[in-house]
Amino acid sequence: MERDHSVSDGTDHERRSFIQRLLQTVCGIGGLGVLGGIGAFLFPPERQAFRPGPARLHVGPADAFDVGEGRQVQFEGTPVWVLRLPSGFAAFSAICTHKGCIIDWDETRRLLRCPCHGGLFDTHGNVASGLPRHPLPRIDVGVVRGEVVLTAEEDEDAV
Amino acid sequence: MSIWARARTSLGQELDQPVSPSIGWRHVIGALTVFFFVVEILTGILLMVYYQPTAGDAYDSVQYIMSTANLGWLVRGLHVWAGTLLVLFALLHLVRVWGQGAYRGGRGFNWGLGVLLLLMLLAFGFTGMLLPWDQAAFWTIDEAREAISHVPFLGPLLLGVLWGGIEELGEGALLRFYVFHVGLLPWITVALLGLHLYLVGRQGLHHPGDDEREAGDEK
Repeated sequence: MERDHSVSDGTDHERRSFIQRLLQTVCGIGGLGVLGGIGAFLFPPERQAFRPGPARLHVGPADAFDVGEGRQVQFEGTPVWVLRLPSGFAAFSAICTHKGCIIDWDETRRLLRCPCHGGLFDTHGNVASGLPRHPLPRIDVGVVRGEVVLTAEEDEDAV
Repeated sequence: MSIWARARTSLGQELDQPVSPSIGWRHVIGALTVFFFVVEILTGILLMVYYQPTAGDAYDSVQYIMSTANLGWLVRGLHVWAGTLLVLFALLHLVRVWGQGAYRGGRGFNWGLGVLLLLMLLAFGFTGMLLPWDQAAFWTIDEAREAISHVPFLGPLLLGVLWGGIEELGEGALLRFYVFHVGLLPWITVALLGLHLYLVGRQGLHHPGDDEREAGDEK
């Protein structure tokens, strides 16, 4: 009897300390998990930080453009025409201000032409003829270390 | 004895205290309410990292939290759900205290504190409702503005404080709701809650058995 008692006492004690240790381990792991989650939340995902400053797009080396050449690129989710004009680079939204078609660059006539209703824009983005009534939105473009770079207007997102 | 060791022993003593058999699971409700409140504070502080209380950015910043920030959906989800459960458990706690007559025996003041705390929670819910700045938030709070404007005498005063004296629901009101939600109400609530818990510890838990004795005393 005495021996049984001491044995059961021992297992009881072991069980208790085992459960305590188990509980501590689970709480510790859980706590670390919560801390890790908080850390993950606090570090903004790369390149997608809130208010990351103006968006930029490297179009390519400037000397790869011939004078009069135009390239259509995707910038901030919209198509944009990047044009190499005799006076330098210019970039315009490629969405016609009439009905929203994607306009073409006519290299020989140096005009932006809308295939839907024939609207024409000159190399300043102004309406040359046709149905559009508003000029094409201009996008900031510049040459940085030989690269053509588009820059979004800073407050575009905030509106 | 170091502070650590002392804290350990006193906590151990507290945990090893025998509890009356009349204290059961129903007494956990109040502790759960406190737990949800702590969750609200932690997740609320985290949300403040990305939330922007301006008319232009509030909605976008909530969208950013939900779709871009790591685990942002979880943090905001916890904040919303813990907030809902907080009010639910506070009400259950109130029903439990009322049902067991636990407000008796000199605990009337603490009962009053509890009711004040419940009002604080509702104020949290009301001011937090506007912050997502979506259609539901806007029109719900605009409806509340209509209702408040019909409160006799106090209506204009309340509107002036909450809406910043501007008739329409706009940037000023959003900022004020935010300030109340994160800057003013938490401090008041923490102070009231501290007093509430201190009084519970000091006056001891109410045992349902006490009622008969008290009833006997009254007779």
